Amino acid sequence: MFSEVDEVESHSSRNEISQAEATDIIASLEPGQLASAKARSHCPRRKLTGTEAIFFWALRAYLIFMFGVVMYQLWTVAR
Amino acid sequence: MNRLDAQLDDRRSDAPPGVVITHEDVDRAHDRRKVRENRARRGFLPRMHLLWLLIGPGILVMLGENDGPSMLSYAATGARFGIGFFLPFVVLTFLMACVVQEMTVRLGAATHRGHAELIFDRFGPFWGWFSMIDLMVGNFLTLVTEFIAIRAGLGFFGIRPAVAVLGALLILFVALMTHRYWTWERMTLAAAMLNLIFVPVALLTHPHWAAVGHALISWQPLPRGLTPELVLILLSNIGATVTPWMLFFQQSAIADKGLTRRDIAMGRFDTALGATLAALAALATIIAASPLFTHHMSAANFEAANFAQALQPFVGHWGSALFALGMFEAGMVAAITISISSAYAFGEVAHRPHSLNLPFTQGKSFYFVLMFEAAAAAGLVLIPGIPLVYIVLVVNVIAVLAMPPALLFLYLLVNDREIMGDLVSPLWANALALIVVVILIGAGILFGVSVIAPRALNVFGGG
Repeated sequence: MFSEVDEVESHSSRNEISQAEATDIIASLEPGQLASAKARSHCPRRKLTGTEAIFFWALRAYLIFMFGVVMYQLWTVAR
Repeated sequence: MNRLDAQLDDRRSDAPPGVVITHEDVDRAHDRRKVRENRARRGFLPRMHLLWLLIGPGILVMLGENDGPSMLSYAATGARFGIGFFLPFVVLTFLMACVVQEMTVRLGAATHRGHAELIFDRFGPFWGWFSMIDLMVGNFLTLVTEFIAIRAGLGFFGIRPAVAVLGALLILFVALMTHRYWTWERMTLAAAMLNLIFVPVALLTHPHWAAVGHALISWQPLPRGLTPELVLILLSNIGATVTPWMLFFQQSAIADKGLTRRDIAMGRFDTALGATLAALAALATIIAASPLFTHHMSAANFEAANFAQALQPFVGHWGSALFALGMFEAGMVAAITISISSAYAFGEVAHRPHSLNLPFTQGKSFYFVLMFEAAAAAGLVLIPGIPLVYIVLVVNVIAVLAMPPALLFLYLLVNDREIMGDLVSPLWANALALIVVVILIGAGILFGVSVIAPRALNVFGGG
């Protein structure tokens, strides 16, 4: 669909950032702030504990149920 | 230092040859250099300049949430209940917003990543897409109401709906054309400050200051009985300050602005300042609409323009015009910030470039999602005969209902030592977050009871 990542990489070479400028940019940012670093390194995945999974699903059920309540309210108002 | 930083430090050791510098990095580094230089200076003026450089996301998120349906909720509150219980209640809701948004400040500064990206990476694609879809649906409905507010606000001045809506869409696109986060932020901040236009409107009603002071201290007079209408207003007022898009927007904006751990104190100040300004505008709107309550004027089916017209006998033509202009501003700023929160979230989940520092060619999907969502909402508002008034009625209620699942993600992330390091939430912050969750779920259940079994409210003296 889109090819932004490739364009980003070629963009920097087209603009020919000097070594000194690049060093200055890297020094001004924290390591995790560089777009390329963010694109390459992702936060490691963690497994939900049983309790957390129960909470997630309970709140999901709550949301679906309450959305039904909202629909019912709209239906009664419209009627 | 957390594990994520340690991994990234490994990459930095062989920089610069191994690192790709993007347009986004160049702009962000420019902003960070200014922050570093000001931080190194001593004295009052450099300190104020540092504050000027670092404020933004907190004020924008709070004033952005003072949007069309929110201002309408506050006006309806003033017209229906006058000066009393709801003044301190609204202050309480902004305190709740501060508790929640402070967590996003720490998360954004510690990880340099947006909220959707962290949910997706940490809890997996299933929950990542779930929360994304929740956000997108909520944001789209809210955007529709923003364009309704824009249409109604400008309608007061005789501007035709199509011109008002398309003009607003044009302003939104022009704000993006800078392709620079800093410029966009300053322009939107300037527009957001117009939210305080409700303050002079309130002053024009010559409020009874002793009653205002008494209400703020004593929470009196209380509404008579717990009725379904009161429950709806309660939820609308909560949904006017605490909503899921705010979590996504502020964290992503903090990452895009480039705030770091050293900026957290300023980030907190920024959030508190935003909450103070937004609370001031909200209280002013309740006070401005309170003459309708005093004079027993029904405001049950008012839209924004109706409020402006109804207030004319009390605030004059200029006061009404300011009120209508305020409605336009509320819708306009929220349309900008909410559509950007969707674009950030999409980019983070789909792993596409997502920054306001990107030129259009490098952030096509980011700008496309942003413009498409805004244009679709604007287009819907222009279709004749669609009963959009129902969306206005429930959009804040939906925000309250969607908040507890969103807060659970936030709670787990902000207590995750692997990504937060020593910035995990202290006990007091967790206790406050838990109180907010309990209040939100309690309000949601109360709303459910008021719809399904309104007679059950008789227990509380209403029904």
